[in-house]
Amino acid sequence: MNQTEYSNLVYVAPKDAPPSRKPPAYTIGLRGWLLKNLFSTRWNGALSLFLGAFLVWFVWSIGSWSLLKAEWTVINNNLRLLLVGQYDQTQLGRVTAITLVMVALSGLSMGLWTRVARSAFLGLAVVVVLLFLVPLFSVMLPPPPIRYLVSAQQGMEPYAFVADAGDSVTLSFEQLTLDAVASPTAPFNGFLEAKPGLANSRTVFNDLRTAYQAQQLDLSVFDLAFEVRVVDATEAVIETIEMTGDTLNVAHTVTLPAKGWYALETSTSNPDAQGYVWIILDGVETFTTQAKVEAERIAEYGEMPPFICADGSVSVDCVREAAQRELRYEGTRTFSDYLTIQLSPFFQDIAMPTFIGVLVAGVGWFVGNLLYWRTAKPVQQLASRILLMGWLLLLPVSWVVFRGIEGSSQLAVVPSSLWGGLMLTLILTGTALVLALPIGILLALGRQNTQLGAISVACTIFIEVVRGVPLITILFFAKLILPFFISGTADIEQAVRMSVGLTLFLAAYVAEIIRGGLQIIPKGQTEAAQALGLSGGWTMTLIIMPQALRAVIPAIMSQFVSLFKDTTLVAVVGLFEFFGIIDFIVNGQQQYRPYVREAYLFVGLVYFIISFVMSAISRRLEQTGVGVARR
Amino acid sequence: MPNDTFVTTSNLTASRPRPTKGTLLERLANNPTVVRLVAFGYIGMILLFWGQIRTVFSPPSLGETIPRAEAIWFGLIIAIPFAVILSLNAFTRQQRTHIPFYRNLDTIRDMIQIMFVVVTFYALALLIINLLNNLGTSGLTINFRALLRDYGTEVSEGPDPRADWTPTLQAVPLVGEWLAQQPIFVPDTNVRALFTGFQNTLRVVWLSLVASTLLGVLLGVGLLTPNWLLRNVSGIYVEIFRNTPLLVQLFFIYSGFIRVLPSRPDEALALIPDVMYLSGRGIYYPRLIETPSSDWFYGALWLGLALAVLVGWWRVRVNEQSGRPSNLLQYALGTVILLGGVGYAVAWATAGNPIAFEFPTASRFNFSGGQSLSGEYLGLFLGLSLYTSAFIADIVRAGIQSVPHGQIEASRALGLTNNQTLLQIILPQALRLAVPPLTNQYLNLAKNSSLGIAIGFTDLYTVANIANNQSGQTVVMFVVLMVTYLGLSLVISFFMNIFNRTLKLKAR
Repeated sequence: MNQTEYSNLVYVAPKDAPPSRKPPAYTIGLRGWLLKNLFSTRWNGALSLFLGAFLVWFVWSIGSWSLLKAEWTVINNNLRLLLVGQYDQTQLGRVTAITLVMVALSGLSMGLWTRVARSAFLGLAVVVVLLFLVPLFSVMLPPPPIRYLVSAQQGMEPYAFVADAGDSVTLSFEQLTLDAVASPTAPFNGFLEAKPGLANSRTVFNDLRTAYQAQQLDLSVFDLAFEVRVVDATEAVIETIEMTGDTLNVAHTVTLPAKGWYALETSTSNPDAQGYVWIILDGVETFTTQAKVEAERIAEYGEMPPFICADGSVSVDCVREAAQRELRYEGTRTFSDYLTIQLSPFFQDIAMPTFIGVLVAGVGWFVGNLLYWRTAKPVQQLASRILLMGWLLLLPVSWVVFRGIEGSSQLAVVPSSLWGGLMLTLILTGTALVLALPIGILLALGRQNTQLGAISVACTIFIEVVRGVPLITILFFAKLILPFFISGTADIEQAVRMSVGLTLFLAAYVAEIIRGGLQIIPKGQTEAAQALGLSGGWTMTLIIMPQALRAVIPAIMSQFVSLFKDTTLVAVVGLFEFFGIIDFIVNGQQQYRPYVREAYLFVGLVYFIISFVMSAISRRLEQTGVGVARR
Repeated sequence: MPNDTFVTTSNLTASRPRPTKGTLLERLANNPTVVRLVAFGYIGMILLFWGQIRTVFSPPSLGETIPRAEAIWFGLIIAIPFAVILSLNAFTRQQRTHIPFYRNLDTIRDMIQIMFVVVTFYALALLIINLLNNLGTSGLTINFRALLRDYGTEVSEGPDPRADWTPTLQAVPLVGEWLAQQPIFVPDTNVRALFTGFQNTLRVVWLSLVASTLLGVLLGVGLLTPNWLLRNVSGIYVEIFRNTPLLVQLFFIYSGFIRVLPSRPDEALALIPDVMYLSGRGIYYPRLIETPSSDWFYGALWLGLALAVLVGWWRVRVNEQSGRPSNLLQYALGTVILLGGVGYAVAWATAGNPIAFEFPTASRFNFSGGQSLSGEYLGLFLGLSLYTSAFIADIVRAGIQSVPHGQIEASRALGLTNNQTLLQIILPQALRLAVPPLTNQYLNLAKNSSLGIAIGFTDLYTVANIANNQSGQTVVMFVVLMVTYLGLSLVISFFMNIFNRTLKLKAR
């Protein structure tokens, strides 16, 4: 039998390995991925295209808005308010001190408690507390420039602002061209009044645009000339600036002599003059209309100056009315403007505190690591316990430090009505969290206990009633009824009342979660404990409760996240926490009124980051097996 | 040796089996007649101490205070009958088991409960007395008649509390005259305003329930599709809406998008020109109006709907008995369209076109004609739906993932299409698991609707808040709020429980 015949009968492997076959081209690479994930069927393809187009549009519009149009200075300039509210500015050191202690504790914990989840949680704490250090170093940005569109027929309404001695205000003029009217975005750069029904820059501009579209606008003739007067509260003219065709695009800087009220007025000698001019006003702090703030300004700067109103009379009210109009910024700017005006000051502000915070946390971490690696077990345990005590004590200590002690000169009392911002949110959440856990455990045990029926019924009623009504109703109770249980006068501080309300609310929910945990512990555990001779109480404390608590950690964490978000409701009953402070900011400072969207976005983002990280940690804990009862 | 006397600490989790035979008193305590008698005894006690109770619950007039010592009566009134029965019980127990009562765990538990009841009621009564005294000294004595006082201001939405109900009430047979005289139906009182507020709450809740469920199911399915883009977009949506406070979302939607729209009618956004407009004040859309022939058409349509239910029931039976496809949707829709078409034709033949709309038209200050939803309603509706749908999506996802993969493979093997698999195999099973957490989300939605106050929607809470500011009757308003929201929660859980029961696997 020769070779060929033999090979016909059986398979003989060739000497060289056959060339390896590649997977089909349509399953690999970018094309394969696209086919598999986006275009697997015709419908999927259409859906992907549609969604893709939508996403591109969405990201593009959000991106271009936030880079080119949004005015983020509202956040940077109000960072202190956002973080600590109206807390006494001279006492900010207390906040910083508590924050530094928190950062240091976080660092220590990261070193001493090595579990990944814990350090992630503590990392979050570091992020939050770093924000607190900001107000110490924050620098105010100049407010955005203000623009008025002025013609001979449509002069400028008297415009009031306040200034310190030596402040300078820059005025410049810019001719309105046909190109600017034609461009869909260009000239809307600055503040424009948007109150309907009144002749103002916005409506004038809109009318011009309508006229342009009807091809009836002629801006070729320009012989506009008028004078702008800067007057003080006694109607003494500080400076008069002539606007003619020659002084266009030249910046006039006026240095103001004294602290007080100032105003701008325009007047023209030729009412038949043609053309339009933008007056651009830079470096002024506009006066606000909220009665209280206005009164404060008057106390600080003296009386408001009287003005010549549109109808020729002299009064203060016409300015007030003019200033009450809503101002809106509809500007466009370049990307480099975004970087220099909006972004870089923010990072300059937070650079130093970040450095200090990281330094303190790093030192803490180093010490914690030393304790963990270089010391004996008993020392470690002792350190760990001290650290835990430190965390537990932090809350009451910060209440005392923030509040101050009656009659003390070092720690003067700062009433909690002045607290606000993120600080208040964190304090309310922390207090509710620390108090609700033990109350929740007691309630769960009470409800679980079938042998003491009366207690069980009472706990059930409490839990079900609290869970059945909205949180805002409980806060309503805490705010308006709770104080009357104690005394006739409302002398309990708002923050305390809200803490009580939030604690009661959270305790009911925590109780139900813990009851769920108690129910999934196998009966064998109880029986084994009894076989060892443990009494009922000890069985619960040593055997059942630790397992139940371990099993419900993820659920409790998501409940805490939920409460953290729900603290926003105290804004509805009148506390300026992180969310409510926005209302305070835009009502108190009229110039920020148009930027509510930016402020809400920022607040939403901070809430999102904190909640997202917490939920991610809770999910991670679940994956590592914390949320499961051992069988 | 009777078992129940052997006292251990083992009975923490399981309830102790009741003895079938015990002492005379224990048998008495298990006898419903005796229990009823004891209940009557309670009522007798309350009557006996009525004077005491009245001093606590009758609001003191100005300057008058209730002595705090009265509070102890409450603990005692509630506890004395308990104490009598239980101590007799303890006594017989001791006779029977020869364990002294202070070492018998059952007796000790009874004592703890009595003490708990006394202390709780004492504390509650003390707090209530304090409350009454303090309110009395502030001149805010609790008075439920405040509900019948004038509300005074307008409720910007919903049925007008100033409307006169007398004709409608009088039309009720038999009790009409009596009803019409009841003070709670008088126009423009706090009660009527609260009722309007409650209707507004219901209006926004039910629509948000439907919208959030639809969106949530879509997103939940989206979270598990093979399409990478859709999966990730759904995921990002869910994460964003779950992890930011509802209040921030509401404000962002309302003041960021709805209130900045021009409020003048001539500047309103025409969604569909001449038909649908959106302005800062709300959304305006056409209203169906009656024509001479519309009764024919709508009558036929309703009849068709009723018949469709019957047809559907018949098709389901056919499917169950013969296994042939039920084609439920086709049959039901067919019935409605058929009858509707016949009705339309008849109406057209008798008196012309039965369907007519009234379109909103812009006048100088507002739109006239058509129907509208206010901007606040729109904001709250959008906020609630978007927020809740993110949670529902996660629930639906978890439900779908809990369906064993074998089910999907089996349905493929049977030759079902993807849609059939999703609609007939996966979703029914997924829903079964999803209903209890879904109930929770619905309850949350109903409770969250109270946030309407933040954007000025006049729901129950807002009206109660205003009424409270006007009358100072905080406790009354709180009780109204609590009872209403608890009732709403109960109703929602009741219906969801029924739904849950119908979905449950019926074991044969």
